Amino acid sequence: MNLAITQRFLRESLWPTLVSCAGIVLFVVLFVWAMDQMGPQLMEFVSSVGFLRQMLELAFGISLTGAVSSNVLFSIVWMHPVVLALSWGLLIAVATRQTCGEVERGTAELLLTLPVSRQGILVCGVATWSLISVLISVCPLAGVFAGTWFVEQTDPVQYSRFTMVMVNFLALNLAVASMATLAGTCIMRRGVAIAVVAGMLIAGLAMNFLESFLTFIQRIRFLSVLNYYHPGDIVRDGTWPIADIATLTGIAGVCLTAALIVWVRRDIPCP
Amino acid sequence: MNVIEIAGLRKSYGNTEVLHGIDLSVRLQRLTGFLGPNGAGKTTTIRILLGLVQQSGGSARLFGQETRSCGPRLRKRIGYLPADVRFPVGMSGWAVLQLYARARRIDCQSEIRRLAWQFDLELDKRVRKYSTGMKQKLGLIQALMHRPELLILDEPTTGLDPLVRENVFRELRDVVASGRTILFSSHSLSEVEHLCDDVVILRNGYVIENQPIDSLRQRALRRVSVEFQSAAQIPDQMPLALQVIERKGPRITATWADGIDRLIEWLRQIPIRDATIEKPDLEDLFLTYYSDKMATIDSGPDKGERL
Repeated sequence: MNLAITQRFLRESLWPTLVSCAGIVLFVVLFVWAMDQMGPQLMEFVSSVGFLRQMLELAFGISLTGAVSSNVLFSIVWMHPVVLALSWGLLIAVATRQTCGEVERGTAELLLTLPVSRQGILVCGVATWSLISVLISVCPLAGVFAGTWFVEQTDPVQYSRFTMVMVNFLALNLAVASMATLAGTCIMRRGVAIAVVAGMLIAGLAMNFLESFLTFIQRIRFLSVLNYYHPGDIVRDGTWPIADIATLTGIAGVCLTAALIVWVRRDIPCP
Repeated sequence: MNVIEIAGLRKSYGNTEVLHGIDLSVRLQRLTGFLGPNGAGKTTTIRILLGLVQQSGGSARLFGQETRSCGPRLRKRIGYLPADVRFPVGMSGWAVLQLYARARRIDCQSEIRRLAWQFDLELDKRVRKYSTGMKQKLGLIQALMHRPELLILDEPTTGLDPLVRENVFRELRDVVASGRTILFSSHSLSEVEHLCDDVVILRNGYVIENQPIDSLRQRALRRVSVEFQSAAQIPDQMPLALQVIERKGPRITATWADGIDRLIEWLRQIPIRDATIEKPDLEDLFLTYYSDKMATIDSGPDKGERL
């Protein structure tokens, strides 16, 4: 791994990373505060509207019938569209920037003619987004911690369970970034690469909603990375999602191997 | 010894072949001009040498090693300036050069300062605020700063003012004088003629010349003006090398496409009053001879072999 190139990648991603991390922490703090202020009333309302309850249960993977503990409510933040959009938006942007983004900006010409192998350059990129993935995965937990610091809780916050969710979230983020890297090496137009990965993730989210209505989706759900990510179940059961984490790590490994093969062999077009 | 050795190099994009099995060599310690119009295949050839593009066939060797298999090791010995050089814009010129130096794992601060002074470039400014010419100077510095054994420059004088251009030429001559080699790609024959020792001319994916500038110059057309004693004495049979452009009374204006000794020999045999022989103009040769060659290349299946 070339330290100078890694530093350059990190430097270019610094501001977007800080903004996204701050955004996630701030959002989670507000979420915790909002749940404290109007959680019971909100749950009562949601329980009374059957369709809304079903939609939210499908979206967040938790049961909203009966008494819902604050810990289960907090698990919503790991599936919340705002958190997912900020995390994935950043990771997809960073991962595609280091591959097709370099080609599109014309900076790949000099980068790839340095005495560093293409594998080495890809490893620098992977190191950059891996570090960002760790940071971004810690943010929701940091938000819960900061939020509960200000808001007094009746239930003790189960940090051990949230740590399990955090590790699952990290594996998910690594899988998403690897998919973006693969798209960035196969497609030399960054906009198209971003659209492809975003499309796949949105399709995965849509499957969560549609599987109750369209039975054939249950047969293809395994194709979505979200099939291996259930924060609500982890907080409720308190068991490590080993199989899910292993599957997401496997997806990341396969995508990275494919990206490496493509990246090493492909022609770099003129900007 | 040849620093660059290309044999039967082919490159296709889909069904379109852009390099048709070219052969060329660049000798050690020479400044070789790489000439050709847009779309001739110059940049594709350079990009194959640098490993940015993979060839469809043939071989491309640098320092005797196949470029495909020894990329990073070979690139350590190369300095490269792309035709359209672009840098990370958020950094200063100095930071950009430091980045490339650290990526190469070398310390070349004194060389960077010397080159920046030589090319009159302010390195403290952010690259975003650089003009095209300033970016070109920065590109030249990054190509030269690690004192590479081989410099590959693609249109290096684009956007440079004449004064800086002269400084660049002086620097490049010093590079060659210090035992290193340069491949200088350009559209401009006058630039190549002014600077280079050898020339490679590429057109439509074929190499049509690869030789020293001097031997090309010897074959260049000379403009000749001959005044005979009288119009009646103008011979009916002219040498094959003589192409009459204008006939005015006892004076003819023509081009001579052969050695100077043969021209003098012919002039000695005929009754002339006066004769003017101009220096060979490579630009004329480039345009005339070039299109003639193309006619040969474009016709028939034995294209290229007749060159």
